[in-house]
Amino acid sequence: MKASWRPRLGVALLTLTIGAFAVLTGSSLLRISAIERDMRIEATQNMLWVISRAQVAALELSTASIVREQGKIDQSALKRHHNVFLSRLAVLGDGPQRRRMEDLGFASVLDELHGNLAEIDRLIANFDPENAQGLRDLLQPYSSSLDRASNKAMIAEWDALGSKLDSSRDQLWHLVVSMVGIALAGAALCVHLLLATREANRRMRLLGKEKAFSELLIASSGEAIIAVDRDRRCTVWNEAAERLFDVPARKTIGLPLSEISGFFQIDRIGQAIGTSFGGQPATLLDQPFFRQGDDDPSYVDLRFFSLREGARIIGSILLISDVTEQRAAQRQIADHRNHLEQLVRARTEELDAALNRERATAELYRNFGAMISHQFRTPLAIVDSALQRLMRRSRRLTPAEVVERSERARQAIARMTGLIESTLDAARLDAGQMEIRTTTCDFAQIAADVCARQREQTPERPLRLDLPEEGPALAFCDPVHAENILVNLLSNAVKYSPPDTAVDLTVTAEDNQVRCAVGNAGRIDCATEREAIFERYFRGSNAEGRPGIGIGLYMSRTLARMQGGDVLLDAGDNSRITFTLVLPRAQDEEEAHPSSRLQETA
Amino acid sequence: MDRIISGMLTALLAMVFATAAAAGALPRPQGPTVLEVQGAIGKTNAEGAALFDMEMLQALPVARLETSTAVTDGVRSFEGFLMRDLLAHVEASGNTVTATALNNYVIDFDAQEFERYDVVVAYRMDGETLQPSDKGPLWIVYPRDQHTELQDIRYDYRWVWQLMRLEIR
Repeated sequence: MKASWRPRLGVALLTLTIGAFAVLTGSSLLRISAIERDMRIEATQNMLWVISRAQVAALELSTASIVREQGKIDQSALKRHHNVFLSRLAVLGDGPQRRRMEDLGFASVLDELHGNLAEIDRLIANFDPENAQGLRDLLQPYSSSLDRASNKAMIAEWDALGSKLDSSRDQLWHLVVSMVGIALAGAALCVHLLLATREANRRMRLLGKEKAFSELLIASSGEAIIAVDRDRRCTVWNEAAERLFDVPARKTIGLPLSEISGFFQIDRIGQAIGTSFGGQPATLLDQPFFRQGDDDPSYVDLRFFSLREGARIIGSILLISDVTEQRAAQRQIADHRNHLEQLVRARTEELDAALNRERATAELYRNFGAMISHQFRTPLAIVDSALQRLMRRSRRLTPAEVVERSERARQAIARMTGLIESTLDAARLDAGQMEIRTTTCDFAQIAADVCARQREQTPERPLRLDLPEEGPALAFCDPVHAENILVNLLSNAVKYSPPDTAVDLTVTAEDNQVRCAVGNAGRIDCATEREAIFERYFRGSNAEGRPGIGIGLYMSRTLARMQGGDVLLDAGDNSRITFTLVLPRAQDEEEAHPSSRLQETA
Repeated sequence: MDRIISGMLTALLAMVFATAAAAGALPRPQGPTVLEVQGAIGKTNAEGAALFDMEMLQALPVARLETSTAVTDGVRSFEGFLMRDLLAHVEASGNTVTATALNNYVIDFDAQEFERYDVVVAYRMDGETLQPSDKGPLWIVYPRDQHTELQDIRYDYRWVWQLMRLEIR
């Protein structure tokens, strides 16, 4: 509140002072000019002289008439005095003098006297001593009238002079007062001027300091600062800009930006400057920038701001910062992060694998436990019951009966031994002790042999063998293991299918594979069972009451894979289960081995 | 015959005047003397003086001046000769010119003044010859309207009328 009325009061006071100064000066000038006017003295104001000279002329003319009468002067001398007299009267009758005489109240007297001039003229022209006295009588009233007129003129002139002096004194007194006022107002104005000058100087110093500070800021800025006018001519180019563009400031000021560097010829930079001319700030990030002599681009962020003077936009300011290093650092951080993520992923995968392995191991042992408890208990029970009978009825038994029961016990023990062998095989396989000796052999032959043996063991089951018509199907495999796999698949097919259904075996040779499909009637409805059927110690729902430890398929697949092949399951909808042994096909027929080795191992 | 004689006489007179002028003397005035110039002058036609009749004065280069005066109303048209022409004519060499009027009114002039201003010695006002019974035959007139500094009482008193005599010192 206080701050708002103080400057206003200051302005009002100043205006008042200046107004007073002007009024006083004006009135003083008026008074001075009035005095000057009053001081001019007109010739008409000198009436006393004019009148007295006329009176003197009249008197002299009168005197001259006496002298002439005495004959001491001639007619021309008299005429000369007459002329002087006439001349003085003429002056009195002329415009300005006539008016003054009217003012003095002597106009009528003058007119009266003029009436006698003709008579005087005549008397002088025809001067006669007898008329001399008459002439003097005629001249006498001039002298006396002019005497009175001069008296009155003197009084009037002195009165006029006195009043003029009064008025001048009055004017001078006013003038003195005005001068004092002017001096005071002038002094006030001088003081104000001094104060204003001091304040202005102070502000100038402040402004100078601020300017110097701004210049220092611009100069020491790490960012390049460039200013342009509306014609895009450079007006500011700081040291950072000098370094960035490698152009000194003195070569840039006043030049269009596009001539300073090709960088400014880029369209989007020109457009951004245009945007800032329109009053909107603009930003361009990560702009590639080629320094002179550098093949790799630097990267800069550009910001554009309008440069305003009041409401008018007079140009644009560009701030350019080099972000090459930040960019590189960011990229490094990103790379590092990617690397860490990869590490974590790999580690997670390892951990997942380890966990799965642990789970599989746990599952394995659970399955192993279940299998042992089930498969080993049955033969032991058989052996136990055979031995109990032998003990209880030992006296009544015939030797044949003893043999028969012992035989049954031995069979049970033999089956247990087989189970243990199988388990050990699996352990060996797991421990990597299983040897694989791959070679080229005729898989059709192997299939035919296995079929023949199966027919001997189960002559009652129909068994179809389908071999390729073109002859041997050469596979690159270990013949012993291949045969074992096939035996296993075939015995499974016989074992797990209804007794009166047929089992078929089909061998085909394709582009680079030899396939042997073993099919039997049946189906596996459960999807998990289809998945788990190749697991170790897994026994399907239809394995109940049938001997086995659930290791055959596992071993078959593992062995097949070790030879570069596989065992596949097709438990399709058409009520048939097909296991297919796939082996790599051998291209060279000469290296094929006969089946003699098979017989050796069997 | 008479005409031839009078022509010859005129020629003779002209020759005499010319000779007198060349010898530093002025011809004598033929008519009544209206102006007498005395003092430091190079040309005379009487005992230490140069006497002029109206014809001689009117032979000087004519100067015309329109101005108001202090003692009359309105602008008046004057005809006469320049004071400096007269002074040059008589080869005046002084600094002060004293003018005396018919009524013995005496005024001193600074000779410089006649160089500075076109001061006219008028013998005609508004086309009419100035009469001795008024301001004539000669009236010293200042170019009052042409120079404001001349509108001053100290110049007004220099308007000598009924001019009779000039003395150069």
